[in-house]
Amino acid sequence: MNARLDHQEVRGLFGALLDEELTDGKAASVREHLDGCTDCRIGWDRYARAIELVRKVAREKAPPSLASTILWRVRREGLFGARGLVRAHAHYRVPIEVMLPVVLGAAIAALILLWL
Amino acid sequence: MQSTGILAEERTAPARESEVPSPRALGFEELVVAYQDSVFDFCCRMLGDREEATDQAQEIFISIHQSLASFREASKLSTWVFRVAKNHCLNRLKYLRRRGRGRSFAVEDVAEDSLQAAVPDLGHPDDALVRKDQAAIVHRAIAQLDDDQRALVVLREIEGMAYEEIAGVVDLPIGTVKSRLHRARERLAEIVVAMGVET
Repeated sequence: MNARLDHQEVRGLFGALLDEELTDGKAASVREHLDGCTDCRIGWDRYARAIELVRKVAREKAPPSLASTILWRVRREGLFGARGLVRAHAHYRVPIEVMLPVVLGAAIAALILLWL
Repeated sequence: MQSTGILAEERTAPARESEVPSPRALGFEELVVAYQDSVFDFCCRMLGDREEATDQAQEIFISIHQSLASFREASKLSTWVFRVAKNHCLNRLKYLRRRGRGRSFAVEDVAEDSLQAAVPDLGHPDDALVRKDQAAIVHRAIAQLDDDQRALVVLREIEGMAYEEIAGVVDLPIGTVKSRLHRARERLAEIVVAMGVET
C-alpha cells in the first residue's frame, strides 16, 4: 500500500518524477495522487510539457569563423603581450561620461591639495 | 497520465567528456573545436543575442587559454569550461544592465529578427515552421527567467548536464541545485502557460 501524499508533497516531487529519480513506490504514490487530483494533474502536465518543449529545441551552432577568430586572437595577444589589459580595454572600457567627471574631480582635488 | 520515460529517452546528452579527455592531452585548437558549439549555444541562451554570444564565446576561450595552466585535472574539463562561460555571461549581463543595454525580459520586447536568426531552417517547410514556433516560445520563455534560473535550465535541459556537473559549474551543493532547478522549471511552466501555449 502506497503512502498517501498531499498536494504540496506531490508538486515538490515533480522534478524527481521528471528525472526518474523516485523509487518505484514513491513514483507509484505520486501517480496515484495525480490520477485522482485534477489540479495536480494539470500542474504536472504543464510542468512536463514546458520542459519537453525546452529539451526539444534545436541547439545553436557556432559561426564557422569563431574558432579561427579565437585562434588568431590567441596568437596576436601572445605576440603583443599585455593581453589582459588589451582585452579589458576592448570590452570593459570605462565610458567617457564616467571617465570625464572622474578625471575632472581628480584634477580639482589635486589643485585644492596644492593650494592648501 | 503523461509518461516520464519519453522525456528521458528524448534527451540527447552531448558526448563531450568521452571525446575530450583533458586540455593538456590535446591542443587548444582541438579544445575550441570540441566546445565551440556548446559554449556558443550556452551564450546565446544566456545573453539572448547572437552577436553578444559570438563576442562572449571568443572572450571565454581567450580566458580559458590564459588559465589553462591553472586547470586542475581533478575536475571535469566540461565543468571548468562551463564555469568560465557561466561567469563570463553573468558578468556581461551585469555590465550590460549597468549600461542600460541589458537583455529584455518582456515577451513583447524580444526582437523578431533575433528570433529568426536564432532558429535554423531544417527539413520540410512545415516542420521548420513548427520548430521555429517552438524555438521562439522557448527563446521568449527562457528570457523571462532570472539569470541564475536561466543558467540552471540551460545547463540541465539544453546542455543535458548531470546534477553533479551542474553543481560543479555553479559551485552549489547538489541538493540546492535540484531545489533551485525545480523552482526554475515551475516558473518556466507558468511562463509557457501565460504565453498561451497549449499544454
